[in-house]
Amino acid sequence: MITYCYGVWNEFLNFIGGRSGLAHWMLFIAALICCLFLGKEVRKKLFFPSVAVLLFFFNPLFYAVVGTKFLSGVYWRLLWMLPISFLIAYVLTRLAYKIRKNILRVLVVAVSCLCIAATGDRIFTEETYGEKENAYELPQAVIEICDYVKANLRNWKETLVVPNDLLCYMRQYSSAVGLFYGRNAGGFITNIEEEEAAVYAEMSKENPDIRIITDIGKKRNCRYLIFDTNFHRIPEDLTKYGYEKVYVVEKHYVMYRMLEAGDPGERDDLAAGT
Amino acid sequence: MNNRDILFMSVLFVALPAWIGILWVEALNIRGNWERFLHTLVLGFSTMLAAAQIVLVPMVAFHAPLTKALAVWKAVILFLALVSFYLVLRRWSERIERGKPIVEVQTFPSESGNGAGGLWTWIFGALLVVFILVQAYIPARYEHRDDDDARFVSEEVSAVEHDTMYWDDPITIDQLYWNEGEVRKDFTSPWAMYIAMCSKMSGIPPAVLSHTYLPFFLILLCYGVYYLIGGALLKGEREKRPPVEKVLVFLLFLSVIHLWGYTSTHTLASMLLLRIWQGKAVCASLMLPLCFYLMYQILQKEYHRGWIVLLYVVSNAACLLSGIGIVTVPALLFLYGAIDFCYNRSLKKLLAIWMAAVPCGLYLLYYLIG
Repeated sequence: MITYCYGVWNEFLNFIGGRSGLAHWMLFIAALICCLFLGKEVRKKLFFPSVAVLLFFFNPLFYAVVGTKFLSGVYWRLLWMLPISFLIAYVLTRLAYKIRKNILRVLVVAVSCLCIAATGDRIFTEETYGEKENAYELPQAVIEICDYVKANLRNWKETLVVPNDLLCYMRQYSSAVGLFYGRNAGGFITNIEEEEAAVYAEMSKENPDIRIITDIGKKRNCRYLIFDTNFHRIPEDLTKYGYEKVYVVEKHYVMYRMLEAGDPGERDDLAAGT
Repeated sequence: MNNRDILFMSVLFVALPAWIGILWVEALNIRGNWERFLHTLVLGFSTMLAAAQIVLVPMVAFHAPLTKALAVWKAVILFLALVSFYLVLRRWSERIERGKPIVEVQTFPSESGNGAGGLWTWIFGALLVVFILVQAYIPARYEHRDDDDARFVSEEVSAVEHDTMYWDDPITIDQLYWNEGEVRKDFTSPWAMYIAMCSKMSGIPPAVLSHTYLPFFLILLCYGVYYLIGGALLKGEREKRPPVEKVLVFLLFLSVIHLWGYTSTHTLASMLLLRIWQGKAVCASLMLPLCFYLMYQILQKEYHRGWIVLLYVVSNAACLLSGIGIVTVPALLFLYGAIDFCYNRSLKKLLAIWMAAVPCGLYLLYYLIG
């Protein structure tokens, strides 16, 4: 039971964001208590439903039965059923309009807003929003790589191995570009197979073992390998591994394409994938 | 942003919902130009989502192509639009018969009916417009990257380019079979296909649509719902219409809470202002608040039964958005229904409210055993 209590508590902290969210949460609790004294209608519409949600959420038995089985990892989303911001705004408005003098009321509204702002965290910052590189709001390198692949398609799609920082974006631009592995490589949602994991492990290293990446790449028909030379320390010429340099994007993303029969650097043993 | 795309988006997310929403404002007999407009917009949009859910889930199950689903959905929307058109014509003819002007123009602050159309109402109004426009503009103008798009936007791109619906893996593009991978949970909540349909119709690429246009329109839509919530909560029992100045102050507080509410990536503020184009964020920021609003109407002693019908629409719409909508809407219906029963002792009303959870239950069952 103690484990479930800790589980619920962690989900709660996860939702409010630990200490930084405590002030707004306390404001919500204070507003909830105020609702008790604001009349029958308010109790019916705001107080009792909120209390009921809280009772369900903080119930370790409910967490054990529902939370761990059906809402594993997303139990905190149940707190969306609490009208947190609406309740705070409502109570503050009601309290502000208890003041009859206009100027005093405006002053109270302004001070309340300042208090909310001072105790919260600003959402529009340089950390959350940046300049767009393009209309797609994707890294420009993704657009250029995908355009190159689309212009040189041999099949209806090509499979790529890309640096980890591009994993989440490649597929958002084109369905002609498939990935050998995606963000699931980090153990997210689904697990990946042994060979994908091996390539991902190498791509995560500053000095990757090119032999492992290219051998698996050829075996699994990954026509393009892309390295970030700002991070990866790799030899420039990969023809002896069966890949040729074809395109450089933003000076540091280097694209290598698998050598095919008839290509100048292609060797029989490489074409056979041995 | 270009003018053609803005025009398309205005039709898809403003004109069409507002037109279809006429159905509801006529049925619910909602008065006041501003209230009518907000209700048409919000309820019309929910109706479009609910229609899409009813069309998409079986068509995804039968591996139908996107264009076919789009054609069926368009036919449903056209039918609803025609019914709305008929209602408008009937209303106009009634007004002409009574010798009243077709459209009654009411200025914004005078609707308050509480004599609050003074200087402060306008100041609060102007301040609020700035706050809301900032919230809608920044996510559209600047760039926020979210890793979850690796699934949602990829699914949309595949659907639009291959004319399929959840046929291939969002990472490798290998063909998927039934019940495979992370896409499985989207079969019952095909919001990505809704966006793919919008993308197909408008010709705007899914990534551009999601990251640039949707935030602007959806955030405004959310504030439409919040306005209605403020009105429902702050309206006195004797007042016919919500007190405008109080609602403006309510929204002002709400804006400040959202603008400074980034205490974690899970709060309503984060969902609303960081990734509103994702189904779960629309569920948290728009559909659950709309569910609150409907319940505030239904919890009143005297209520229009049309509000209960709308619960069925909203429960379907919430299912389209996210799996969490399938779970939270029935939970809300259960709780609010029980609370209403404690006050009003109406078993019929309780059952009507609880029955609105049936669509969610069916989708949940389909997900679990499908």
